[in-house]
Amino acid sequence: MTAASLSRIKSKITTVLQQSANVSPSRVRTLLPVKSLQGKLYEAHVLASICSNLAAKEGCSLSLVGGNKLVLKQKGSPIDRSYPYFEIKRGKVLIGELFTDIYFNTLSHFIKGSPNPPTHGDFHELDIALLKPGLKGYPSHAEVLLAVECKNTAIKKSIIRELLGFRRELSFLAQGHIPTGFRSWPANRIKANPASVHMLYCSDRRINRYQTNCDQFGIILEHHKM
Amino acid sequence: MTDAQAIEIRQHLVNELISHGFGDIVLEVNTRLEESDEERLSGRSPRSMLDFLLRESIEVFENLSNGNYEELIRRFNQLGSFSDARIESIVVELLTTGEPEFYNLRELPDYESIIGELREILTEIEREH
Repeated sequence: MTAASLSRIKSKITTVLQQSANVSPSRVRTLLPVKSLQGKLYEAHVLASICSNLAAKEGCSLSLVGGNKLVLKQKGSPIDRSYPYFEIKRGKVLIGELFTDIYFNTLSHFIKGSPNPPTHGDFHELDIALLKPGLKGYPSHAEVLLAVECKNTAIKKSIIRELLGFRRELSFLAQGHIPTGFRSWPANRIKANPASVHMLYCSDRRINRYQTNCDQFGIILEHHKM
Repeated sequence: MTDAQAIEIRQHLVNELISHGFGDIVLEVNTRLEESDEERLSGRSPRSMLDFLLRESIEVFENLSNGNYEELIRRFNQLGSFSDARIESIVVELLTTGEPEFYNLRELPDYESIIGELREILTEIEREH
């Protein structure tokens, strides 16, 4: 490479980054770090993908109830129908309701005798959750049909460990495959009881390295780019 | 391209990313590098390390860029029926002590110019090889 080419490449790098400096994550001032907001944008893209698959592959119809703004939350909460959510129907039958940033009561909470109110390890947050219809408050682990986590970050083994722990709080490992409520997508059978489907969407393609291991515990990994 | 030139460009890109507020991109790429097959890491040439930095930076920027927000809205509106009106925006409710505050994700930056420039540089460097 000539010295002129080298200099030109370096200059191009400097120029484009200088021009974009005012929108860099460290310079954009909001109440929440831009990185967290960008994570929410990824969550919205994943939600669109899930909705598309429910419509196209499961033959479901979707309705947004409660407004014309899709509201994601900085922090999870129990079910609150003052926020818009999706109704998922197959024909005229309401088969589930799709929420974002929802707390659910864990399997360990159930084993402890379901103390009320739930505290600390009694609940965890789901980025996207398809739940049985008509629920309120904190759904139990058995009322989760589809549990989705979204990670717009490089995949690290620690994330896989976290994922396996999360699965532990959704269902027991089943000896064989148990029918889910789905016809084909994301899975019609899963090695989990209750037979919830647990998914991780990740923007790093290296997530695929862990699929066969996660398969053993009823976890589906999805490489998803925005 | 010599090894020294590859190192120089790589170092320049890292320095410029950090100094212009994109240090998180460097962290993400480094994490991807750490999680790569360790046995291949020791054999990585300066040229392949530069290639890795460019490709992975492009991908990280693509996954952060808000270049297709309107398309995202359209995608939702093509899917379903809505009781009130079509989806107009996607917002994040922020934790506050008083009235709720909302951030419209439309306001997030897009990085299409950076992505385009890095792609051009990658193409040029590949031609040099």
